[in-house]
Amino acid sequence: MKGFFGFAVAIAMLVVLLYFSIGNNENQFAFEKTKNELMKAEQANKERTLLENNSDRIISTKLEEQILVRNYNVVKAQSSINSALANYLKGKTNATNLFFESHGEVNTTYLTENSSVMILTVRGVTYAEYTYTSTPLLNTIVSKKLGEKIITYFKIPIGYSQKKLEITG
Amino acid sequence: MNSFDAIIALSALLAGFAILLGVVNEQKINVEGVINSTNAKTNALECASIIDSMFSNSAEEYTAELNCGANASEINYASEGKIKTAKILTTVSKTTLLEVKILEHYK
Repeated sequence: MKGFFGFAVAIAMLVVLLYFSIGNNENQFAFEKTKNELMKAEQANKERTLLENNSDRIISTKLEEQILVRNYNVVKAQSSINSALANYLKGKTNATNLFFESHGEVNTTYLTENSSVMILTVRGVTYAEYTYTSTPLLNTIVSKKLGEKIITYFKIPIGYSQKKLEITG
Repeated sequence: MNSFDAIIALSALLAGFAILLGVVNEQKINVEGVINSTNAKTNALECASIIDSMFSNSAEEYTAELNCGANASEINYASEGKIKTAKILTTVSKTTLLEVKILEHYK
């Protein structure tokens, strides 16, 4: 019997410590889980920003190019811009409705149906504009769902436009 | 007389043991309180971090579940009577869902 009570109390304290340790580990696990989720959200946002910046850049460069080569044929200009854009967006994004439900992949035809290009030149001033208009029903967009739990969407919104102005002479 | 002494000694021993057990139990209650507080704070911080991330990344939805309470720019979580709060960057309103006010993106 000698030392039994002390031993029992020590064991009981050890159990309490173990309980505390388990609680602590659970919190540590929750923090790690949250950290991973946040990193995934940042990654998704980076991916979206890249898609946006590159799409902007492609449209801007191609629009400027049309002004430089004096291409006032809007059909050709639209085709040139959209084929460059479709090449980039193909496989990375989807042709979707407003609820992000995919109905195919993005290609030149889809972009041409959903956009308009305007190039005007008056007295040495050239104005060019690319607009993502969607269809007359205003229900088709280009989008991509990004992220796992924290969801972000890349989308070219209806009404998105880029304008270029060149003044010569 | 000897048996009486033995009874007293045993009673003292048992009383001492009971006190020790009481102390251990008190410690257990304290530890439970600390665990609940930490748990509540962890969950409040988890919700706040996710909401802040949604705000700063202009995210549109969260597919998992968040069991936090919301009061404008303060998130709270209760665990076994312990309520802890965490501040967030944006404002949140709670109906059946948590609605996070985010900034518009890419117009």
